[in-house]
Amino acid sequence: MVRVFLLDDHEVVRRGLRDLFEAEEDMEVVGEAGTAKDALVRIPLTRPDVAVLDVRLPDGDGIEVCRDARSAMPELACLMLTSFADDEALFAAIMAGAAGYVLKEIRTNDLVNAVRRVAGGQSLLDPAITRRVLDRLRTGPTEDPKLSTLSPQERRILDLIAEGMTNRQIAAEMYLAEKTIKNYVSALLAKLGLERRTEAAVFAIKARQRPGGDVARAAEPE
Amino acid sequence: MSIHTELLRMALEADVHGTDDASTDELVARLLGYRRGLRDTVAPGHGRRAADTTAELIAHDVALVRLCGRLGIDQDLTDPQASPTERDRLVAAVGDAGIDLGEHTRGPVSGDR
Repeated sequence: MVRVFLLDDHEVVRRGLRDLFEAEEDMEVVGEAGTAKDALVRIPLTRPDVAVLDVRLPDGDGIEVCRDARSAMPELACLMLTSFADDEALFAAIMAGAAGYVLKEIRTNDLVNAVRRVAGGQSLLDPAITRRVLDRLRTGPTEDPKLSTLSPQERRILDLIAEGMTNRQIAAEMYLAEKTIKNYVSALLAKLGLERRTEAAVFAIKARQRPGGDVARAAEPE
Repeated sequence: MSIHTELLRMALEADVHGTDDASTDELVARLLGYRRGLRDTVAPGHGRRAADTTAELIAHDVALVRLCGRLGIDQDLTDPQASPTERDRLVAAVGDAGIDLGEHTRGPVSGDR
């Protein structure tokens, strides 16, 4: 029997999840909470196998709950459940020791299977991350020396230029003013000894093809 | 098992920079290279994507595990039940072996079990 704990600030969501899991013969919902604080009290008491944790909560977030709960119960599998794709939250969840990260738009059967999978000691790996990890290992830690002249912000912008983004699109992506991006582009072109952003895009693509040539990797000299 | 643990195990199996041919100096250089890459990594969203940041962290941990193996330091970074501070312990152990890996700006990682 898989013992499941639910954390979500919306009662209707908890109710739906409880009904979903308890309809399964091999699952039992042993507790639930609507806040991070309550969850951290109840999880150790109910000793679940899997905690299904909402990422965003009124008094914190499910990622902190994952980290704290697993510190006390390393065997606990945490499945993060979120309403929208959030790159920052995904990485934070990985760092916190989450076994999986799924969107609330997931099909019910898939969610049930995800709980079974993490309860069975597996994790839910994102193929994109898996691929990136393997690529990163292949390239090693070296990089094009020219890139070392760029600041982390300039590297990121160069990377986005290589993806064909305009200054306006980059500004939106990085939550900066378009004029600020324009200044960054001018600075990075000067540092690389280039005149046009097209040349920068070509430079970035070539840099990516070199061992360790991850443009956006923000490595600075020690 | 956490995503980190599974990725690290997979990465160790797939690691093309294994310990057989590399000297200890090369392993140290490799680890330092990855640590430089991590220095400014706080979180994705401000210049990095989750996949890139995770890849950098896993590559770092692979290099750390390799170096620890070479130095005879027991590690359980790949153990799902490992301490949240296992990475920090290993860095300190490498330091005790006479190899200064420098300051690592990232805080303790509780996901590396």
